[in-house]
Amino acid sequence: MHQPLHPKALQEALQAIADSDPVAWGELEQVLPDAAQLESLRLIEDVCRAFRQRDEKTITPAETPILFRWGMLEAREKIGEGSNGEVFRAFDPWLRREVALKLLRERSHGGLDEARSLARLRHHNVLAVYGCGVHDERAGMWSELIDGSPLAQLVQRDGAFSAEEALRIGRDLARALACVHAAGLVHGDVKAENVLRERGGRTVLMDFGAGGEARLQSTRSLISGTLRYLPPEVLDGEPLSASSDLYALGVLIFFLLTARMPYEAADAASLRSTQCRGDVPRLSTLREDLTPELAAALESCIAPHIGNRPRDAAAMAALLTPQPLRPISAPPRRRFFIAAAVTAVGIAAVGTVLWQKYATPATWNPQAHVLRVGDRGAEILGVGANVKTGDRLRLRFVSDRAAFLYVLDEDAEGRATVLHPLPTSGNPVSPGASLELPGGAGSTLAWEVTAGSAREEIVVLAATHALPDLEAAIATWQRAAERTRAIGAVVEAPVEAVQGTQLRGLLAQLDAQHDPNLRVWHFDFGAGR
Amino acid sequence: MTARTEPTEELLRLIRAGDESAREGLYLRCLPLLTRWAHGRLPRGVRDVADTDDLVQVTLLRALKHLHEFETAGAGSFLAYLRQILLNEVRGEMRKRQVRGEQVPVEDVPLVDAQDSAIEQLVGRERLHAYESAVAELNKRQQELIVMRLEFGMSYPEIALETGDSPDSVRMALGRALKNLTERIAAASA
Repeated sequence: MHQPLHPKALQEALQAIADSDPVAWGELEQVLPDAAQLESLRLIEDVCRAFRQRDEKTITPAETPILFRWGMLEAREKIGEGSNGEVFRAFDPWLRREVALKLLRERSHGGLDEARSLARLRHHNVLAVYGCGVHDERAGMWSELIDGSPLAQLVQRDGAFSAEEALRIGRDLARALACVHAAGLVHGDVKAENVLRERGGRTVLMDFGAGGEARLQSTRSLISGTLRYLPPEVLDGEPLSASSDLYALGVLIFFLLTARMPYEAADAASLRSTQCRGDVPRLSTLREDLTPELAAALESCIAPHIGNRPRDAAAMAALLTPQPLRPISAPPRRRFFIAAAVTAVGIAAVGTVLWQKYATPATWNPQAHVLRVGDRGAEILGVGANVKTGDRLRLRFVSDRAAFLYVLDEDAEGRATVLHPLPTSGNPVSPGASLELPGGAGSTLAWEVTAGSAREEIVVLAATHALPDLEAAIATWQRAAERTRAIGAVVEAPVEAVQGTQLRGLLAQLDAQHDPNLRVWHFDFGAGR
Repeated sequence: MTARTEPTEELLRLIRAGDESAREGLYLRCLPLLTRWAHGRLPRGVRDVADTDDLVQVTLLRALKHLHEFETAGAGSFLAYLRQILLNEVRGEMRKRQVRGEQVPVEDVPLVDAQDSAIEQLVGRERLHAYESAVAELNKRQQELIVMRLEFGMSYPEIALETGDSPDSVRMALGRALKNLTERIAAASA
């Protein structure tokens, strides 16, 4: 018997699917606990997306030459290389879209095991393989091309994930593994390098090369998984199994939460010894926002004895269901959550400058921009830009005169925070200097668009002189912690539309409209559509 | 020829009254939607692109010539009716292929799901079947709304033109249809 659906959440999710907007899956999971209902929603979204993708004209840049043809596919660009093959961006004229083409080095039908395994699966969180074959003496497979980054790269670049995000990824992967195991398959190499987070927030499990059919695992003499993700029983000689996949997922979640591996060892023997001793750092110590119960549950996923771990992927997914986290003491960890439903909204105008008519731009020209940062550098978000879940945003301020800068944030629950000045970064900002938030220029930190439910507003005030009244007013506001990971979408936001009561109160006290030496920008993250 | 702006129902009435320009207008309205849909939904192994275009055109022409068959089928949306004809065509082709048991050199075809349509490849054959089975269980009105919005990618005003309702009514009715669809898929998987 299914639990009754939450009418409003369901209605919003279905509306988002019908209109090709992102679905706030994290929020939805909290009110729709029934896995079958969630899966049916994901299926409808996948069907809708498949038809829409067919409708969209896939653009293959004309200036990109065809490197070679492999069967019907046109290989356009080499995008990766590993020990067993190369990966190309290719165009599939049948699907009318770009695909990832993985060509194996050796002409080996055995090398197509990965494709055969994956082609048996279709799950929202498993890489979709479209086909495999042999052409021109080379075996290969082609799959969906993911616009995203491996989790390993995200952790290396930005540090540990928030608890909510790590749990959500864990749930996605546990459900993906439930599908994998139900098909009689073993992944065999679950690790941060083999999980992508697609732009838009989808978690994608890929690279099944180490696994295959569960019933055949015992016949393999060599284990091709990654050492630090292998459970004790596999190191002792047992074959890879569904259980070893879950252990690896436990290791991965630990890694996402702490940016370190639970068991550090140089070789298999020392790893096995460390596992035997159960010499693993306590999650409750490393992450003070986890309740002791949740920390213990997560640690059970990497327990040395198999009987102490979740019995299957479904049990592990249940263990990772959303639950309240423990509030932490100062300094407060900044967490911005933005409704996924608005993350694809076009930015009609970012950073509307208010009251510019009163200013004297000939003598003072401060600028504030929201940037989207990625592997190819920073991009100023201008008119028409889109922001999606997973995008990483920063704020840049530049002034041709010394400026006193105040960057203030208020979330939907009325929590006001000072983002600048901070003890580590004060005023004034030097003429010509570029001040970036969070973390300052050169920092790899960013506010990240995540699936959430609340709006977030940032007001930027710049003045040629200090604003003592304002400084007194915000003296009791909390200061942003240095670590920040998440934020949401930016939409058109005239300053008159500031909704946060504390920000509005503050602006009302300022005579900004008549002060030529004061500028105000308003960035509305996650406003309604 | 300029696009006709009358609701489909009105065009059908004009066709029945002998208005050939209305027939042409409806043909031009339906053809691009159906062609785009068919390119995604017809199996790769069954027909090439040119064949698919031909199949859609012939299906549409014949349907317009035999409107009484559409009315016998219980009226409803003409587009949804055409989609069902094409789906039946796909299933017929697949059955014929299975009976013939065509043999092809192994290395000449991809090893995986070569016969699947593009949409099947993107969604998965079994999952698409689960979706289509659940859609088929809905009442005709709800089936049409889902097909037009999700599969044909029609806007709410376009659907409103097809159904004679307002865009807001379409949006609300579609929400109810999708809720039913969600529950039926979940129930079937339980």
